[in-house]
Amino acid sequence: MSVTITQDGSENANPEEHHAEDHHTEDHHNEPPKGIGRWLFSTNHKDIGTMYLIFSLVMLFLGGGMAMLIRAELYFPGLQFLEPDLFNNMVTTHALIMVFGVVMPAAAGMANWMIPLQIGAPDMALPRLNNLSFWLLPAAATLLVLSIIVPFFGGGAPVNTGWTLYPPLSVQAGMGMDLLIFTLHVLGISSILAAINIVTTIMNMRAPGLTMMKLPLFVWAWLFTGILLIMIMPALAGGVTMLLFDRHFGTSFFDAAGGGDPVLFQHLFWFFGHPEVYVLLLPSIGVLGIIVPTFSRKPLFGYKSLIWGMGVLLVLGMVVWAHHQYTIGMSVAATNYFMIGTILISIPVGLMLFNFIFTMWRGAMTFETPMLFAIAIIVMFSFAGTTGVMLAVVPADLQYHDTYFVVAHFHYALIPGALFGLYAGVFYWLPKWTGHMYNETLGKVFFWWTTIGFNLTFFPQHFSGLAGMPRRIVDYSVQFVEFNQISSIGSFIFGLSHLLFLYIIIQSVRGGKKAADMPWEGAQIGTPGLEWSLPSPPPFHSFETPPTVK
Amino acid sequence: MKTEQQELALKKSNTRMALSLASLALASLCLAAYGVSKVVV
Repeated sequence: MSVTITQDGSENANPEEHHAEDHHTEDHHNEPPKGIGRWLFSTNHKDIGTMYLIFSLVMLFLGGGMAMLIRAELYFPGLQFLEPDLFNNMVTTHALIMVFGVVMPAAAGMANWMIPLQIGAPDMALPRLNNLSFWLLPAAATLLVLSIIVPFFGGGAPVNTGWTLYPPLSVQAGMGMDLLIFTLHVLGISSILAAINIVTTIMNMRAPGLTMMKLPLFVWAWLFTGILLIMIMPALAGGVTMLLFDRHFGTSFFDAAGGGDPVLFQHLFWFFGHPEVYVLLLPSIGVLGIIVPTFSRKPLFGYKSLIWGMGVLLVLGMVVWAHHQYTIGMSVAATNYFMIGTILISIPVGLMLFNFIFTMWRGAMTFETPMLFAIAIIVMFSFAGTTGVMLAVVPADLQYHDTYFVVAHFHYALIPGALFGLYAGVFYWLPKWTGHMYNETLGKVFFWWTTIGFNLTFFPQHFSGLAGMPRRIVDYSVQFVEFNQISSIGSFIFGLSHLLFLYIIIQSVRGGKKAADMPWEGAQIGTPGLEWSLPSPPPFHSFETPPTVK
Repeated sequence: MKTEQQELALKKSNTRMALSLASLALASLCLAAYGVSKVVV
């Protein structure tokens, strides 16, 4: 399927021809506002997308730094330089930062930048709401950082519960826990508002002629992600609010002595927490659905089945939450139900991965940096799928639960499945955003450096987990030393590679080879977005006249 | 360029869609509250 775009209804074989007319009519009011107001009061999807991405990059270094501290502490058994409670605080905030501060804002930033461009919309449906969605994030980040600092100034014990915040430990934590609850409230509001905006944009703002079945897969992925976010965030908000009430207002939602149940919090948390991993995954699947056809120079295999797969994933993902809770004492009938549901999820996920592989089959492939990341995702996310099916089996999980096997599994799911997808998207669209090609050699170096570092960090953790090493411990038995040392060395390699990532981005922003409107030869194959009909970088206001899609 | 009427109609449609989605969020919260009331194990 190919899409022919006309800017003003006239046939136009060359997407670049109409740009001269575009520039002339749009120049006089296409200047962005000057000064800090441009950013504080922005209603421009490109500027807001940029702010989301920069925020996410800053948080990547913050959360990554915490991971370095964790791995440095775990290089040797015994206590090195972190107090146990502070170590547990690092484990907690590392996860919260990565999930809520890196992956979700980066995906939202990419959505902000690309969805209006791909569907031919002048901006998001609700531009002022867009501004609020972004600016809630620095406020949330401030609260998060305060939650770490406050215990050093007499604010009680640091939050040492892990990102799952289970009571009764979370009820006993100091003031940092209240700040963390408020952080989650603010993050939740930001996510819900952003999701409402994105879904409304996709449904209402498509260019004339751009039917749903002509949409790029990235747009479909965000449609499902947005719906999922709207449905799951209230459960988290409710759960942490009940936690706040238990802490300060004398309720006993999660206190057995008062007639409550700590397991209730677990259900509320994981009802949010499991679909949340699909919120993290789906945008990257969408990015894969753009990158693989481009660099295979072949249309996406099974476009319709990919959309069905994402829909099935959404539905199934919402009803299997308690596979995180097999050890709580559920009935056999309940554990069996969740086990079967969880194993079934491998079907749509496998379907999606096979569709990407079949897209590459007999394609004219080249291996630029985005494609390297895409292939790495398909291979390494399959590792996560395999260990996920292992973990789904209840009697096996009774051994794996709360060991490093789980840590290895979810890092193989989240780093290839979410983070690498974002890296692939950044390298793919950086020429469009900045107007300059990034340095391809450095991009490839970054890819290999980060992939080797990542695998060195997390592959050994499968074995330390199987050998019985528990999660969330600051000190461990001597039989786990070798695995931990390899893992720690890998983590330093992985962490350092991100300095190169930062350098590549800054270099591309500041200059470099001028990017064409369509820098990737295969970008127009299949169901491309309309972004390639715009200059690189696009003007401040784009598609003020909606293009017509034939 | 779009006419003023078209822009107004689009704004109305966007608002309606956003409010529908917000009500979906509210429904989800009610579902979670219902689940809490049952304390399902």
